[in-house]
Amino acid sequence: MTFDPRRSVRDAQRGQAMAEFVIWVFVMLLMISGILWFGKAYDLKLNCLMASRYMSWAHAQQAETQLETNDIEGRATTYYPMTDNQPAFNKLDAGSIFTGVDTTTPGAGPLNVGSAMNGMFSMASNTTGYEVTAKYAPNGILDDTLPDGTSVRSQHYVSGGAWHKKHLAEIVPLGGDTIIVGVKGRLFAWSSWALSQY
Amino acid sequence: MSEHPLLDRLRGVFGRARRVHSDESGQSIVYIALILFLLGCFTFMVINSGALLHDKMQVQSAADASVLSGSTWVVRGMNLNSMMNIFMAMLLAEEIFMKAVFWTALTALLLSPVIEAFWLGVCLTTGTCNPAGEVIVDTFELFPILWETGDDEDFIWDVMETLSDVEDGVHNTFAIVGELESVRVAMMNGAAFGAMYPPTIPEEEGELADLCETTLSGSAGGYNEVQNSLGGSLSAAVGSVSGFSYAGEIRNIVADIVSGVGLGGPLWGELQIPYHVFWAQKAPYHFTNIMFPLAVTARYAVMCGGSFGQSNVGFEIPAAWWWFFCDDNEINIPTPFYYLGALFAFLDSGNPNVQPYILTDDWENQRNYYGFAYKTPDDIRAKFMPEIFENTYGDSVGMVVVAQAQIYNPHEEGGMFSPHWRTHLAPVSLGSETAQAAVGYLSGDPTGSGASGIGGLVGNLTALTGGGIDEIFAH
Repeated sequence: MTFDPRRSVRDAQRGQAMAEFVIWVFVMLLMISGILWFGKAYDLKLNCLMASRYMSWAHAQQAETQLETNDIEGRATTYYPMTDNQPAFNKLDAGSIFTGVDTTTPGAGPLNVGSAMNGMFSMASNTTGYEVTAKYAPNGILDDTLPDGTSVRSQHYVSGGAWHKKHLAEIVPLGGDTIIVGVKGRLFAWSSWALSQY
Repeated sequence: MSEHPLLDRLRGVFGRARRVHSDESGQSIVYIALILFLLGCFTFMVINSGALLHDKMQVQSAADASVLSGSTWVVRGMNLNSMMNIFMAMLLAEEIFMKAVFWTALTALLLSPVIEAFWLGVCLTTGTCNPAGEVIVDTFELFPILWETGDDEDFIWDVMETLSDVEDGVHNTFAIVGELESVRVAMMNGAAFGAMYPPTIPEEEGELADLCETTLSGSAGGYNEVQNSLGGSLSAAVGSVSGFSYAGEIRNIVADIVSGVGLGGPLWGELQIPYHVFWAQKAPYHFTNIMFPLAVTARYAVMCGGSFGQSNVGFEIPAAWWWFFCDDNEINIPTPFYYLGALFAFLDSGNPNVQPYILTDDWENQRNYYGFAYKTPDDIRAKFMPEIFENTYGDSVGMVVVAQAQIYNPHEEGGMFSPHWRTHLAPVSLGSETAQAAVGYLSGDPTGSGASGIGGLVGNLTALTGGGIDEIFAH
């Protein structure tokens, strides 16, 4: 029988490297998958942020763009796709800078221009807030296990609506072009009336 | 029993060596601790970076929304004032018309003895006597016109003054409201505080002359009355007047006179309608076709700060009855309002209380608005902050970000007669001077460019809401 000390040591550590390798591979895979998981989740969070920004801004501009909520949601899901993540769009109570303030204007003046402004100031409340939520892994194990599931969410508030001519024409009975032509017509009628008195 | 002494010794040596090599207890734990420490550092770095990114993203989003919302009020104010500038331009046309009626009637009244003598001479010379009788009757009708045009004129001025006051209110108030809105929206989006700079609207307090100039010349930003006329054009407007047809010569005379003194403008189309309806039915028709355009010209000149027009105007007179006045087929009619207009201009060269808001020439330098959003150190989720978020003492000063909005008008010559103003986010281009001025305004830094500092910001908000800043943001 021959004695090989190197073989003796090797025999004692046989399989150890493999076990360590497996452990570290497992740990590394866990880390890599975690990085990927959180990366994807963060990407989803970014999508929610951008979608909430778009939703709030588009709704704040809704009076002048005349887009329906369904169209806005459709665009948001196209621009920021979250098809497999069960996105949900929730309108938030955004309040108004004029909350509790009477924004109605005084009664109509001689030319009845003031009456058109009631609608404009009622628009002052169009600060819009939207929350967009999405699930990273809907109905998966983590979704059922974690307290909040795998939901990510983002909220955004913004005020919009420039009161430009087209905008006013759409939302105010005497707005935009209508109000200009209306006032002109009234001036013309008034001047005709004034002349008829001479 | 040993097989060989050397072999025994070798066994002893290798046995000790094996024990030494096999005794690795405590070695792995060093590696593991080191690796876990590194992993922990990496994990902390990842989480901290994520938190930092989240903080930055949130506060940047707050700044974006803040400046977008604040500048929305700016463009609302500009659109509102643009609409009122248009109304004031239309009222200016009415005012000029009333002045013209008054001046024509007054001039006709003053000259009525001369007119009657003139037509009496025509009657006696040519045997055509109808006009002489009509002039006498028409002269009596001139008296009430003098009073009623005055009342109507006052009414128009009242309306213009009201609009001017509203414009002033919009100009001052909407900038403050926009400021308040920017603060509010920044806080709604998770910032501890936010603000917009500058708290102003790029308009300047105009004068009546500005309104005249932009309205009459059709310069950039001016209101084009012809495009917005009831009839859409002069010919369409003329066509809309039933029962009356223009004499081509008269229309040409009017156009020549008005444009000859540099005052031909789009308003003229609007004036045609009531002018001819009235004078065709009421005025001493031999006289008015001459006097009215001259009176209008004079009123343009007086109200809009120009010259007083021509001192006399020559007309070609049909040869059948002009021969005893002159021999060159022309008659020169003096324009007494040329001199009276100077007196009138001295007394009332426009209403100083009417101050339309006109866009400044360098508005493109004032179209940028900057939004700031701030997170306190306590609000920041990240545990480690880069040095850029520290002050000179090493204390974290929180996180401040800036966003920029730009107001614009999609119309090429958009101005304060073009209610199409909008706002959008733009890449930040914050110059050092603007940044210093903004810091001065927001922080009260006396090195700021004359801004009133935090007192000004709070003062503006307090003036608007009637409460202190604590009350404003307490809820």
